[in-house]
Amino acid sequence: MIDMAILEIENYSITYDGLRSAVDNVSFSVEEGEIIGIVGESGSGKSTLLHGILGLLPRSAATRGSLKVFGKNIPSLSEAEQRSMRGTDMAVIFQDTGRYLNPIGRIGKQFWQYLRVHGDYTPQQAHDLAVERLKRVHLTDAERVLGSYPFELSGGMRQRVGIAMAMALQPKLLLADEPTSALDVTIQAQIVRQMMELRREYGTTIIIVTHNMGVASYMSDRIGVMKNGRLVEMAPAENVIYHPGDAYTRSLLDAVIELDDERMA
Amino acid sequence: MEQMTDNRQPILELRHISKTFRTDDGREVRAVRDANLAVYPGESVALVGESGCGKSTVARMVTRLISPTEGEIILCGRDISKLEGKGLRDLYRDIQMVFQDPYSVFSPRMSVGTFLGEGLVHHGIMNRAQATEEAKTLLALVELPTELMDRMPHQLSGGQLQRVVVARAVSIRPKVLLLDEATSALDVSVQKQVLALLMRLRKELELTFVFIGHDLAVVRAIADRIAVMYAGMIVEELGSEDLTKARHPYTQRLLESVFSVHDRTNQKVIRVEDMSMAVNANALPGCPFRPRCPRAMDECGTACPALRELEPGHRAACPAV
Repeated sequence: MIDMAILEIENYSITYDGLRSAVDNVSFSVEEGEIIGIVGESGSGKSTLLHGILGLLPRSAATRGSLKVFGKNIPSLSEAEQRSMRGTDMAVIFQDTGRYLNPIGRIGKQFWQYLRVHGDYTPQQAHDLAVERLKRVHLTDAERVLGSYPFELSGGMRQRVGIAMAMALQPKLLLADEPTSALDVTIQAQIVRQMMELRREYGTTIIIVTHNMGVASYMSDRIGVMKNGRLVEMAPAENVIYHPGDAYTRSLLDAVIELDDERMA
Repeated sequence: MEQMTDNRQPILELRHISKTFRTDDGREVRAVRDANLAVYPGESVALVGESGCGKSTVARMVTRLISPTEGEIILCGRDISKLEGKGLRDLYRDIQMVFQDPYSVFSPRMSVGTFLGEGLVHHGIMNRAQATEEAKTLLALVELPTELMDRMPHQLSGGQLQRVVVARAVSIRPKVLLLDEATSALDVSVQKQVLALLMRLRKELELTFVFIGHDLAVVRAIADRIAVMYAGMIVEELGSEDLTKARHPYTQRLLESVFSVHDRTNQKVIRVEDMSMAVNANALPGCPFRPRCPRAMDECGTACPALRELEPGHRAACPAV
């Protein structure tokens, strides 16, 4: 694994039913421990790209080019091989973890079911690991969380459960698809902090897809800007923010309303 | 702002309004608690807060989609809190609203032109033919081409659709426009354009705005004054220019939580908050923010702090400031 990029994408495209490319000839690579922000507006292809990395594209999607995670070309793997990579090599947090949890299962049981996919965990082992992971994401009454149903938790708590589950097996690569977009601002700040802690504590490589330029700027080492399926710019975050090379990036930055802007009223 | 407008009558005034919902198991949830707010003609006032703070409940009371449990709502000089039937219909000559999701107000099989003229016909201002003509003017007013007249809602983008909704809301020339997260679902570039349009319409049509939002930067950009809500209460009220000088610990927490594009990791510290199982802040005695407040004192656990004036135009409900 030495000197190998965690993720290498080359001339990668995703097309649905032979129509316009949702992802159009994208190339970039990610080194271990990097945090990459992918920004763009709705329909830019940023979430589709993330699903491609995860091997979670619908059957109707056709891909071209290569997409390697830890040197393995994802599109050419069998579904079983892809599944075994998810959870251990890479994991994902979605915008609304609650939607991916079973509404009628207690969190503790779902944690166990998640772990069982990847190993022989007894309910007790799963419980102990879950408590440890939940405490790490600052859910201090972990026992009560495990005994709860998803609807009994706030959106921020569910998102922390999602991070705790995603990080249960300490994957090297964490993919985050708009992980804070459904959250209130104070909770968003907490989740952002949480993700930064993952890198600090485990050296986790993170790819975060977000429409929030502020969050991307805060978290990312490098930022990629997508428009109509194309990666129009990818550069160190400082450069993208202060010296955007692409006209679209500039217009996107100009549209962000900031606390110290001139008021419109 | 307030000292300038003191000699005028508010166009909209909330007087001690509260809304209590009862859950299926008989518990009472105080969604809004003793809210007081005055909005003067031509002003743009924002209610800002996080989900569950009661801001949308206020919006629904002001537009009388629901009735307050207690208190009065004075619009254009009369109490609208108990209106029914025809009185309610007349109310919508004075106040119109725009919500977050334009699709929710559109009938999927109604053309843009018909939709635009609907309010005018409904209120007996014009007949159908006149309203159809007026619809073209309305499209131009919101900077859309008249070709859109015959389109169906699904053929328009979210931004275009929200412009159409705004056009209908102002078609009957209301005095107050209530905007409840009206641009929150739009992409940033579209959002900025729609906000600019709203600001232009406010001037041209001499509208008063009540803007409900969660994005502090957006709210600051378009409102003259801001009222911050937490757990059903207005905890701070201040001029937008002074937002960054907010004194209430909750408003300060909100401000700290905003990620500016220019906040790089090394320049911003996020304090960690434990999340414990649902504390129902609305049901706590004393200040609802107390469990999260870095400056909580003994007295915060007993009495609910009232808004008090810190300087002209700036009020906060906190004994520590």
